[in-house]
Amino acid sequence: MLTVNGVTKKYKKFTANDNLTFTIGDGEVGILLGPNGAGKSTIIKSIAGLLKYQGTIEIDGKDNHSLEAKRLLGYVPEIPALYDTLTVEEHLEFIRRAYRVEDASIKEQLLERFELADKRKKMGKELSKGMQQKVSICCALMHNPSVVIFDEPMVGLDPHAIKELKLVFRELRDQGKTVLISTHMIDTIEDYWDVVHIMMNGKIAATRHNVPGASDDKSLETLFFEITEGKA
Amino acid sequence: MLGAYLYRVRRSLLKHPWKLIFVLFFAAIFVFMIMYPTLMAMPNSDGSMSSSFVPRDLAVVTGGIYLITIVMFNFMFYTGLKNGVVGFSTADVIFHMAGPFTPRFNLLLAASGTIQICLFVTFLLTTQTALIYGAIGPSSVDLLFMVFGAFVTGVIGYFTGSFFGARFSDEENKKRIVMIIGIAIDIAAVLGFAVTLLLNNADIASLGIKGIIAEAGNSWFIKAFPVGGWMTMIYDGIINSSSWLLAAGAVLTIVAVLAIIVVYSRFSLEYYDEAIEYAQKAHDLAEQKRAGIDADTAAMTKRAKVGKEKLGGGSGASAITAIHFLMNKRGSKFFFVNPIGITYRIITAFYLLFMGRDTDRPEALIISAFMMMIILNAILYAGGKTVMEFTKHYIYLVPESSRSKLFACLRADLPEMIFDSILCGALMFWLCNFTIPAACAFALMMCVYDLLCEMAALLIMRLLPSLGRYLLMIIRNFGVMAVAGIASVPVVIVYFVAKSMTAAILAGAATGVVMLLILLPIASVVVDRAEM
Repeated sequence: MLTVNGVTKKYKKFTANDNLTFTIGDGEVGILLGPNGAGKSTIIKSIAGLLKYQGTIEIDGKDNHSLEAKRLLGYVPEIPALYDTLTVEEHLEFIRRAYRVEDASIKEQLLERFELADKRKKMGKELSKGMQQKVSICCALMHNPSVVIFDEPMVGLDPHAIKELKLVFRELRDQGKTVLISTHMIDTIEDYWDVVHIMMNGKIAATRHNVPGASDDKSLETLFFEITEGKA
Repeated sequence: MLGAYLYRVRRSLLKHPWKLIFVLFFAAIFVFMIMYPTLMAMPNSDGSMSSSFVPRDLAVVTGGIYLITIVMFNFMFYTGLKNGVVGFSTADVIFHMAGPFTPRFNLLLAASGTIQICLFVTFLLTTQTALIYGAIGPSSVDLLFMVFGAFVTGVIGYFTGSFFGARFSDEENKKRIVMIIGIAIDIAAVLGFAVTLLLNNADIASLGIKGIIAEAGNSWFIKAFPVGGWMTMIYDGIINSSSWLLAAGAVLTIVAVLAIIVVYSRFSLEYYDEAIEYAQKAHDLAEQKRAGIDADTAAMTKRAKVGKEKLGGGSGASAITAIHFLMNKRGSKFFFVNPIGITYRIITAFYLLFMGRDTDRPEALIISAFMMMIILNAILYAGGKTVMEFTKHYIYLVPESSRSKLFACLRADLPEMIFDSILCGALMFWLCNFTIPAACAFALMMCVYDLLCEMAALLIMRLLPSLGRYLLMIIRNFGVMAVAGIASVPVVIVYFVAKSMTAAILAGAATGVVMLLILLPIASVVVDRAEM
């Protein structure tokens, strides 16, 4: 479970996140939806422990800066940051060792699944952005985390990788994991989300739960544009 | 076309006025450094010459200018040939290549970025003025021509190279032929000079580095070298009162400039495909930088290839040490060798040889060597692997204590620091006549200073991220130099008190250790307070 409680992040006078509070439960896919500059990446980075902020963030009840929480967290950044001279395989091996994962077979499974097996000897600097993104995703999943956060994960991926990633989201949910995805592309999330938080100007402007059979008076898209275009 | 471009430059300057302040600051340093020989040559109040005055060695000065302009031409020519079409941003692609601008104009636009490199290199030259003056005593006018000549030669070299680079952007073979011709001219000039040197001098060893440089100024193989040689012939003619040399140099240089204008206006240039590809790569790199991922080591990783090297053992934080060792091996074949460090040592060795190991001012030589090594290593380790590691997100995610992660990084840096420090000690022993104990103490001190600089840089980067990328880089580089400078104060004090070089250097090392012991615990706490 991921709990964000009263998180505020300021850059000098600019408030990127304003008192954000939300929870994503086990076996849930949560979406942070919002236009560019809404504060999605800021809260994702705060959850990953890469920013200083006011408030509390807990991963399975543990403070996100604790070592226990770090072991439970997988993070896919918006911009993949690989080591230039490490190969694809070495990236995964590094993460496996750094997280002290005993089972080495998961590395092969991920390489096969994301069609990276034939690129295993390629160095980070030799990969396209899409390939780098795939490696980033594999690294985040390598240690079987219970909470996985994705920052704009679809950007740069080919259609096959997008399809595979959507399947991963569902699998993670079925395994009881917590998934949080930030995106501004509504059409990419419509078939797997459980809860959507629409963000605007650093705040959560609306929350919508995906309840099977429920007849909402407004579609997600209509609601999104009403909020972001100021018609709400 | 030009109006639109200048509008963009003007707007950029208005948004970043501090750039103008930096330009003025560097211009002031430039003027001061050029005036340095004039200030040193001012007589005392009693009319006697100042003790700082160094007599001008005209032959060495002339030869030195020839060599500097030739090196500058080569550097900029090959930069233009290789990178002539890579100086574009994605904004250039969208607004210029797709806009109403000719390929020729757009190529000049890319060149403006490289001219900045040219300015920077010539600025670096001027910062060495005091040391060059101490060695051969050039006048301010000599230095002014050296800088001006190097700049003009560099610009012509870049335009020549980038023309061929753009013209043959999709014909690698033709580009390679141009490069081979360029290298052949270089080899011919060096061989021709070497042969005449052998024929004219029975005992070359007795000439020394200065003597060889002086001979270079007399060699027609050097004078005839494209653009670099021609440009310097003008000044050679002026200072040696040879109207023939002056006329020949002026005519050849003007012909070179006219040739550039003609080829740029006559030949069609189709380089957009390659330029767009490189612009995309540059854009990806800029995105990474914006995300806090620094690429200071990009030059080091350029030539890395996957070989037989394997990821060694290590789990938890030790896995970080293992990947650093692996990356070192991939970059330089040896886990203890830093290619940039080796380059710095070669520069230092050449510089000390030029200054002369048998100088009558050994203290000046030691101070020069000391400062050069410390400044170069401060720059090297301010952007070292540990500092860079903490600009990537992985280090923060790894579930280990910040202390163990920091030490894992430092452990990986130590072998190359030790190896580099041994080289520094050996250079001091060989070129500055240090005793073995003093050289060993120097190696120890350099190793401590390397660690100290890396630690200071890491603290600055982690404590002041809100300064913004450029300001942070400047403060980081000056900050580490200041820290190394403070650690060096006891060296001077102890030397004057105890008159022992070994004791003085050991005092510097001890101060460095104390500072390190203060900074290390702070760093191991601060690095976990991430702000990416």
